[in-house]
Amino acid sequence: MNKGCMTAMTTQSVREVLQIFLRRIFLTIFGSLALAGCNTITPFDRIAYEKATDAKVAALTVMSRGVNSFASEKDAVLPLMVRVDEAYEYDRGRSLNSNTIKMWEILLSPDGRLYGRFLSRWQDGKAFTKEAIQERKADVAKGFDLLIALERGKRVAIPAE
Amino acid sequence: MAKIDFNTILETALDGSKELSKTLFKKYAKQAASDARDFMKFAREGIERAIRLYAEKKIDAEDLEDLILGKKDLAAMNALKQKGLASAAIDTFTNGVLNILVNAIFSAVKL
Repeated sequence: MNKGCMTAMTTQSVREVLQIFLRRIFLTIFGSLALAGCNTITPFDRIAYEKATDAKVAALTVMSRGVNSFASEKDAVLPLMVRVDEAYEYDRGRSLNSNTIKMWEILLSPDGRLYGRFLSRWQDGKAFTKEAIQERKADVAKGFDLLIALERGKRVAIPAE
Repeated sequence: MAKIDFNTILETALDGSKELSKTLFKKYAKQAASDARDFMKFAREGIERAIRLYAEKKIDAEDLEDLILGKKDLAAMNALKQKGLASAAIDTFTNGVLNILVNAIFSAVKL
């Protein structure tokens, strides 16, 4: 085999390797862009899930104190109320998360009939019977369960290759 | 350079997508129906208990109203949850189809 023929073969091999390399890059970029651009809802977030479950416990603990006046329980419940607010704020900061944010708003609104309503009435001076607390807690727990179930049901993000 | 057979790529991707939709959406619809049944049971039992407690004077009229209308709020939350889960299922499907398509392309160009 002469030198010219060998040079031509080497050039051909280099060109083929380069083509394969470029094709791989193109397909990887195409695939990644396609995968990233098609989400309509934020992926599962472990921190949001943990904050929501923690907020549920905190909110139900706050409500258990509702048989006494808010003034007498204020010091004990304020740190718990902050934990609920923290969980809401965390979810509010996530993009593509409108359903979860709307669920939080229903749960926390003083104009609604759930946790926000309970807090509003309690802070206005109402003291609840233990039966009323028990029933209201069942509704608020259900609200948190729905919120937590949605987080759990969100798609696990596919890590970039 | 070998020619890429786009018909084969699309057929392979379509077959994979059909299978994916069959399993994914069937599972979602079954779960949604079961969730709706559970919710209706929860709401009915809660309202029955609230009416009984009011009749026994263990809760006041404001509690009764909140407990009944609270179920409406929970129904709205349940609808949002289902909407969110449907979006998640659609995302899973869309990304699954794209994955299938990318894999079909990789196989066809034999990299």
